[in-house]
Amino acid sequence: MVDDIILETRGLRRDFGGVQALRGVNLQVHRTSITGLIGPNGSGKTTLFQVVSGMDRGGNGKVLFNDQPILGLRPWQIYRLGLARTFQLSRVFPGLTVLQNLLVAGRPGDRGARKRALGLIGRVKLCEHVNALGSELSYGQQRLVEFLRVLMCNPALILLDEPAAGVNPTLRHILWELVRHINGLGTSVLIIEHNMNVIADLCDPVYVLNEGEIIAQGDFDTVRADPRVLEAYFGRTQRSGGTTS
Amino acid sequence: MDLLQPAILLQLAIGGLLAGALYALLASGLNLVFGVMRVINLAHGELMIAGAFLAWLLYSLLGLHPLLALPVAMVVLYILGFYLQRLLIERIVGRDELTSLLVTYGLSIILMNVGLLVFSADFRAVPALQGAVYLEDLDLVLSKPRAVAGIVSIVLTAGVYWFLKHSRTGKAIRAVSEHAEVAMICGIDVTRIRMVTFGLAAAMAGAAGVMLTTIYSFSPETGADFVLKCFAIIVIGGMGNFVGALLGGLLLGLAEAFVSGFLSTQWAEAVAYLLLVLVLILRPAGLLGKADAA
Repeated sequence: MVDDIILETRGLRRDFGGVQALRGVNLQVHRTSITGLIGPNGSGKTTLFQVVSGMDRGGNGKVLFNDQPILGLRPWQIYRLGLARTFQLSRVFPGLTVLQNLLVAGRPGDRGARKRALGLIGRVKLCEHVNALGSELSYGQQRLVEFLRVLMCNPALILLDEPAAGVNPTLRHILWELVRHINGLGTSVLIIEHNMNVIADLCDPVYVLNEGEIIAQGDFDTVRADPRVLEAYFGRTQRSGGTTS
Repeated sequence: MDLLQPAILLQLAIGGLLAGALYALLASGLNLVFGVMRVINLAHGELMIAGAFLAWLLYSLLGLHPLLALPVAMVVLYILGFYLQRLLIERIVGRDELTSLLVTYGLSIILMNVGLLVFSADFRAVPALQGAVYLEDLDLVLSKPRAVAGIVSIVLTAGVYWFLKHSRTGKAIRAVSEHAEVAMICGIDVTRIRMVTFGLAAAMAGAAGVMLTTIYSFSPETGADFVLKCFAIIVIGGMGNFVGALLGGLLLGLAEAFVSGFLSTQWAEAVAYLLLVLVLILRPAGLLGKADAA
């Protein structure tokens, strides 16, 4: 693997009984890139995140993070290597305060964790909620806290699973600004997102997953024009020129 | 004698709170394990008795005072609990309740029978703390062993509460208790945290056992009575809720004291279960529990 690549999957497969959720996925995330992962519902995007992050240890193939094979490692080991992720549905710790939610994700022995946590909380304007319990936050605020939490280990790569889903436009703006900011500081991002404007605006390259296979990759305009992508999203093109879904 | 005299009521209340503190210490450990692993450890009472026998041995063989045996028993029980989790309990985490009940019940039978083989069924006690103190201003008689056991229990339970609330490991335990899956992706070694939790709960049970030796006589079979009461306490307080177990323990101690005073000690034995039924009818999730936890 060349040094420029921070994450690579080679022939990654995941079967659930007779269902092949991932069918030999080959994907590369370049260092300091914001890489997009799109595809119709059920195409295997979240399964890919589950396998790469160690939450699902039933995958076969190869996953290299910073040249190191990580398939089979436990999630906390992968996190400590510098690969963090968020979930599709917000999952903060409801009984911990906002500050504690962040501190719990800090690296052991990190003396600067509290300062960094407060800095992150301030950056997304949640200062007045610093001692509020996770359960007391709005859904959008919970998503922000979840996002801040993955930043606590200074990750080299973060996997964001639809981070803006269910978030109001104001908080969404803060979120995307933060993604740009941390990317600017050198953190690579692999992001699943359904909003194509966001993908077009943020991501390069973009991978398209359909039925467990990568069917297209490249910049947004390239994949948007790819007939296989159109077919995956809108159904097979008829000879008459119409579409079925 | 008029039982409604303030001095007698105060006497009963203080006695009840001190006994309740010991219950709370024991029940908090059971509740901690349930909160983090969703496992009801029916062997918790036997771990308490292991602590009691350790204190008895140290007193009989070395003349060690129970208060000095306390840290020794806690360390030994912590290590025992830590590895019990690793070797046995970890295998049943995430399985259905029946599996965990059967496995921990089996463990309790094994521990009890090992105790019977080694120590026989004879009752023993550690007569290191005896007598009573009369507080003239309050017109109150305090049994020394009960007062010491109560105060030690309060200090230890408060210490564990502080540890859970403020230490890094304590926060990790709470995180695992709330969302084990999310805790994993926050860099928390969930398996190790479960081992620490079970060790901590076993240490609390061991400490309760050491204190028990100064108040009651005990045999290897005594643990079963206590674990049933503890189970009632954590249901009363709210399963998985640490503060709920404290409240439940103190409430049971008070209720037993007043029922003993006003009715009889036989009725006092039934109080835990009467309270349990009452709470399940009026507030099924327990006093501090949430509906989904129930």
